Amino acid sequence: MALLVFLALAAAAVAAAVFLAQPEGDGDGIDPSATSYSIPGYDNPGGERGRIRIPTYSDWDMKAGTDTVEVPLINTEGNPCYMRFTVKLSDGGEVLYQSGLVPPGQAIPSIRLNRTLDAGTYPITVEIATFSLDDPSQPLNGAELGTDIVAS
Amino acid sequence: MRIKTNRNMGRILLAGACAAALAAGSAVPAFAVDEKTGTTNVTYSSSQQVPGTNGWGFEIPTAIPFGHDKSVTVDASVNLCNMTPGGSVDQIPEADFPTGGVELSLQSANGFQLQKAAAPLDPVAYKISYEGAAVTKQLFDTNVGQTKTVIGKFTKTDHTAVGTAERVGDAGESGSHTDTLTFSYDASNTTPIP
Repeated sequence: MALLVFLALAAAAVAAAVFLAQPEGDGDGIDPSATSYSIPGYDNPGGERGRIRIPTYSDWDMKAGTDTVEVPLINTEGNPCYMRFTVKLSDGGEVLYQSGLVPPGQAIPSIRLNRTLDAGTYPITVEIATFSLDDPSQPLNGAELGTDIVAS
Repeated sequence: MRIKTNRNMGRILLAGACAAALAAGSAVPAFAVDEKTGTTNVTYSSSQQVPGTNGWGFEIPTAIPFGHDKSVTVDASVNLCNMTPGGSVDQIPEADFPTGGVELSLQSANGFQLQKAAAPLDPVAYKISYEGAAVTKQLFDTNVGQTKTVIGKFTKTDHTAVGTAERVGDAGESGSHTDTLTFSYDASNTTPIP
């Protein structure tokens, strides 16, 4: 019995080691943080007709003095494209965050900015660049959405 | 190109996200992993609205592919949409939508010309015509150039601008000619909710 427990623990340790040794991302430009994020009914029925669904954003609240915004960046299921999200300060254009490619039906669960933000309201632009599913080097039509980060 | 996903990585990330969700309250998503398929479903305990979004958005064309025949037009329509699962445009809550409507703008990277990626650029002019009650600017062509220009003001009743794209010029060189359109919306341009 003790041997079986030992073997089970050893197998688990090996599995964990193998998992932790995996490199982040897959070398194809897919953001390593992108994860399946399907919401029943939250899809794009017009995707087959070449339509992209783009959300608009409300204020993003975050804790002042930190660098993390708990807002998911979603590429809606059914969108016929990859998305790359770039968050910039509207004044000056400083890039606060840029994702890798996010496949349809996946999302970045939360974003970590390039720096911390002190308390205040920061007008931002979320740029959504889109790319072909067949050839991710091929850009498609995109969008820019304005909103505010509110750090308090 | 080979695209692969790492389901194990997703599970680990979602475990962390789940803990954050529980700590932050009921308005944030709750995560559940389907162990059979490795996929993740997201539900909302108090709202079907994704955090950080307004619950509504726009549908835009992925691409506007022109063919050899100039007389064949291509759909370039844009419309307001309800991003809440199962909801239609008229079901967007009043509290979530600016009372004065919302403006959507359009900008062309090449000034409404298709061109090659490298010289000779061989620009080929095209135009997009928009129709509908929401539309305030009907014609987008080389005269608009690269200037970001408002297509119109969209409301829950006037939610669609029917767009028709038409190639005007002819290519003098062989090879791919492209342009990229950017559709933009800025909340600061809307009428504040009283």
